[in-house]
Amino acid sequence: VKVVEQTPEQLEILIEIPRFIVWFMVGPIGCFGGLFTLALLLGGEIVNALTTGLVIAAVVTGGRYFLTQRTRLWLDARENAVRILRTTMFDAKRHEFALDHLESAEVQQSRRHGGRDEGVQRATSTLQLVFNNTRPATRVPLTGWAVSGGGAGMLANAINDWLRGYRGR
Amino acid sequence: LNIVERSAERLELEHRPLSWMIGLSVIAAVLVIGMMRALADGALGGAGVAAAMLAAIAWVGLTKVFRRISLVADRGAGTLELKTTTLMGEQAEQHALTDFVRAEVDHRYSTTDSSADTGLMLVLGRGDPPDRLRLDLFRPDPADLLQAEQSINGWLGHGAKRPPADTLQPTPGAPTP
Repeated sequence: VKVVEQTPEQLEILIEIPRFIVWFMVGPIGCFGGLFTLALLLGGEIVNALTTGLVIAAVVTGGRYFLTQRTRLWLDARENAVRILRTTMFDAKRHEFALDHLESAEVQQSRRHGGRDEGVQRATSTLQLVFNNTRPATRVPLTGWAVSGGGAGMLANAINDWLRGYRGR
Repeated sequence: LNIVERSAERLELEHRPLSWMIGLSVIAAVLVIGMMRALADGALGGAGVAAAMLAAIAWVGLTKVFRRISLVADRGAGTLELKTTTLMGEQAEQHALTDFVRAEVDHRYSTTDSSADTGLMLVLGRGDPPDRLRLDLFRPDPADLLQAEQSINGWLGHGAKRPPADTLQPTPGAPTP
């Protein structure tokens, strides 16, 4: 999650889960699952090994698909354009809108409540763009996942500051 | 809603919730494998639970997720065609292109839990009020909807002369507007 380029003419932002976190989440399942499958195979339990291997492969592939989704956002003052490029393991999708229709960026937070003794757990945040050319305004989330921490807030501040500068010209 | 084709004559958009398709496929694959293993081990109770979960997922998948919804506006034929293709078959609905005024991003709020539901509304006819048709899309991406609204209205606004409505041929089985 970072601002790649910030000039009065252009703001470029990259939103992705860092690779080491993806490996940290998916790697152990693949590694230990693979070893377990290998042990089953060496023990002669072919059917068990096959089914376990297939389940682990499906979980790892699905997890990797959702965790490696990446969004790149460009706000271009010269061309009055907002460009969003979303890439996944299988496809890439590009959207382009008029910059004048972009009102602001917002952070949507979801807060999970634990039990009576657990209190309120950490909130997770999603960055979304607010387009005001519909009634009511349309909110476009930039990622399919939400993360805790201040990354989404930092990007929302960067976008809103840049928009303020753009409109103040 | 992705743009499949955009030319002066023809605009085609389609909706396929790919992420949901992949997610449901992974869960279904795990359940199928679990069910087969349970059957092989003679654990009929476990196999029954897996089968029930699989049936629920299949029902949601077949009725909501594994569907291709397409919108085809054709100036040559003078038609707006809405097609829903599922594993069970295809349903088509046709309207005169002259009746297609614009598309709008539509926000609805649930009357049970007030959750927001964003969709695409097609404004058909020039009456007061005009007919409005909301596309039955499963979990559409708001960015796709904005892009679709922009593409459709741009295409309609910059169109060539449209053919008269009386040259249209009705689609067999299409509901009467």
